[in-house]
Amino acid sequence: LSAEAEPVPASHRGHVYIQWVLRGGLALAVVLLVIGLVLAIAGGEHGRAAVHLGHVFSEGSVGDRFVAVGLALLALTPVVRVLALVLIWLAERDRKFALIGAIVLAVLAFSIATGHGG
Amino acid sequence: MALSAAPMITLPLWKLAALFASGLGAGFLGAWVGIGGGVVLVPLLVLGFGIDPKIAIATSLLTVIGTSTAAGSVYVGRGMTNTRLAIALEIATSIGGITGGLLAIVVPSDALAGIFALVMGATSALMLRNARTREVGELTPSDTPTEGTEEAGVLAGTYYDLTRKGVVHYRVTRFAGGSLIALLAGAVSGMLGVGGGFLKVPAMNLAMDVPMKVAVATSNFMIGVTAASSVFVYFGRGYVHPLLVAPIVLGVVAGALAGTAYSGRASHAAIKRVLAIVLIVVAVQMALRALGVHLVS
Repeated sequence: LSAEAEPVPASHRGHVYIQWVLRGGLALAVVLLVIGLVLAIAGGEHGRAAVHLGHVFSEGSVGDRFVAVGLALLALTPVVRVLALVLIWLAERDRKFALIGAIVLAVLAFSIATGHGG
Repeated sequence: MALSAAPMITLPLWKLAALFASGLGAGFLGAWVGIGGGVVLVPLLVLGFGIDPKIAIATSLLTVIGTSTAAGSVYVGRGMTNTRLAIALEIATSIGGITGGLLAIVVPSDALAGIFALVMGATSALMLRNARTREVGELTPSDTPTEGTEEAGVLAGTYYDLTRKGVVHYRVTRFAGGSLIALLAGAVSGMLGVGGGFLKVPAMNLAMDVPMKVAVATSNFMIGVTAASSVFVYFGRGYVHPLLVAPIVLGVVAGALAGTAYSGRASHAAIKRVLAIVLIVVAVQMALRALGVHLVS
């Protein structure tokens, strides 16, 4: 992205990796949502009212499951984003911020566990 | 859980299209002014579609993640986002998010609408008072746009400002105070289904010496992580309705990408005024809802 002789700054490399994590997670979630929505509409049964985190693969019609998995994946993309940052900062030897990121990951893990237990 | 045996719901095509359009508008506005769009979407779902506030909040949180991811991919690519600042503030914000989510489960829906109105009213008043953002950071004039950077180990960085025509160097101050506001923003986000950017953006700009556009981009990155910290609470309790959420999320993602493309050309003051006007409208509507006045039955 920059001139060939110029070394790319570490922070910019990190930004590019994060950009791909964001794009990849979002694209996959959108594809699943579109497929699920089309299947749900085509199936006539327009969808299950509610879905629980632990039952995204097992409840409802095929369309519902595509949508539910897409939504669960979307909800997980921020977790992956933080994980990617921790790995990038570890690679950059920025231990201080890698530790800060790890703390945020722990909070998110607690949240997922809370949701499962609900 | 009572909702585990949830019935099938049928949404006619026109309603799916209306939900998509609502998401499109909310996503555009959200990305443009640095909020997740939830500030518009929750009242729209509650007041316009008659959806229960807790289901609307869960729906909104997923769209906040969609906005943050779509807009974030653009902002991060431009180097506008300070990811270190985002994650450092997220310690407080994500703890606030979980707390807010757990609180919302036990608070009655009408009370939630009332709290929503109060928060929005206070925020809009603050934003109107501070409609003119002070410029922060040192400017090095340049006609050549460059990628933004952030320094390792500290909270500082640079970005190219199209309006000021130059590279702005900034250093974050008063982190502890900012974290307290971030904690509150997280709790508000988890409880009301909004991104909390309307608190974080002014906090970063006015209190922490972060340039407005970096604050918007960093907030946009953060709100997805904050929403994730509370959305699982709602997911686990059956407040996520897949067919309802899917068209809105798709609309929001499309709107957010368009809104992000426009944000680079909007001036600071314009961003703030739009945000303030939106908040006032929302506050009045939600106050009416809390008082039992339903515009749409």
